[in-house]
Amino acid sequence: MKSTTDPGPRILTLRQGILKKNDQEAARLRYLFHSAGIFVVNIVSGPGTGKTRFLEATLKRLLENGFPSAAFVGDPETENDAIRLKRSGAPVRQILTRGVCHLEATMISSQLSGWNLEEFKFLFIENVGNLVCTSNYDLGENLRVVMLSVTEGEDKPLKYPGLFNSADISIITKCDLAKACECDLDLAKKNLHSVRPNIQIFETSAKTGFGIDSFIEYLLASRQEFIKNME
Amino acid sequence: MHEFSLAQNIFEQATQLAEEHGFQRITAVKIRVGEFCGVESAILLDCWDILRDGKLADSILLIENIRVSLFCPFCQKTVNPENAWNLRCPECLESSSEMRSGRELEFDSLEGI
Repeated sequence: MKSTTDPGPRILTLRQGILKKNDQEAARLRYLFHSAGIFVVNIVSGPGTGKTRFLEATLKRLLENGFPSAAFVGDPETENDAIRLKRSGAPVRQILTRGVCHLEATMISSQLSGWNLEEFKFLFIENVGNLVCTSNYDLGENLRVVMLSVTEGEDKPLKYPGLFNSADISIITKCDLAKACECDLDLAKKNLHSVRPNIQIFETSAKTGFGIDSFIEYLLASRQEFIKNME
Repeated sequence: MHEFSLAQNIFEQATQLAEEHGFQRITAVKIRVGEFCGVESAILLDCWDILRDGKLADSILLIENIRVSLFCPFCQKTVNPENAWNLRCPECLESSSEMRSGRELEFDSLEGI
């Protein structure tokens, strides 16, 4: 007979997320943002898609329309993107990941001090440019936006289905260059729908301003819906 | 993917679970990883060999890879698309956004004494 201190081999079955720590912190953040009435957007894409330029235009437009907003931007090194985003007039904080390929929820929570979240209508999180790793980390966002530029090739969504599938909406950037890059926009959209059926797609150019208004309208409507659900 | 950081998450939680459930040592940690998570199993296993320590020093990491599956609203059943970049029912060829599996990143079980 086995003693009580030696129960023999056994199996503990459990369903517990490997990223439980991140998920718990993201849930805490979501509650915090929700209480402050701030709508949070996580922007993911590969490097060089034009996240920063697009976000600069978005922040500026929101401020002009009476919706002050703030932004975080994640990069392994340099403050370059924060400097560019600050030109919009919005408060911006750079998160230096020092080699880490994605943002995690604790990186957001540790950078919130000193900001009165209730002053902001939107918070944007420009993730590290990466088409694989960013997809598994919840940052407490309400909306995940994936960007695809016309310069990257129409088949990026097919090559990285995991990330494109994780997004709520998609933005095609640099559309002013589509012709010069011989980008087939219909094929790019078909590929987006192949990995994420029915995803809403915005065609834009931050340089010319094309499509920015439709995206702003979408954001405002999404926030209104979010506020309605809060009541 | 950042396999080392994932291995650290697995190791820390498994160590804590081993304590909580009174294991003297863990022989196997079984996890489920969805196709859409972009995890490279061979690298994750290498990271595990570097990290395992304490009650988990002799443990092996078992990875169950979970394929992407969809619910097809037309065929009214769960199906596996032929590949992860074309989310269509292989039978009726209609696309479906109702994913049923492929995003798992979770523990399945711990085996030990």
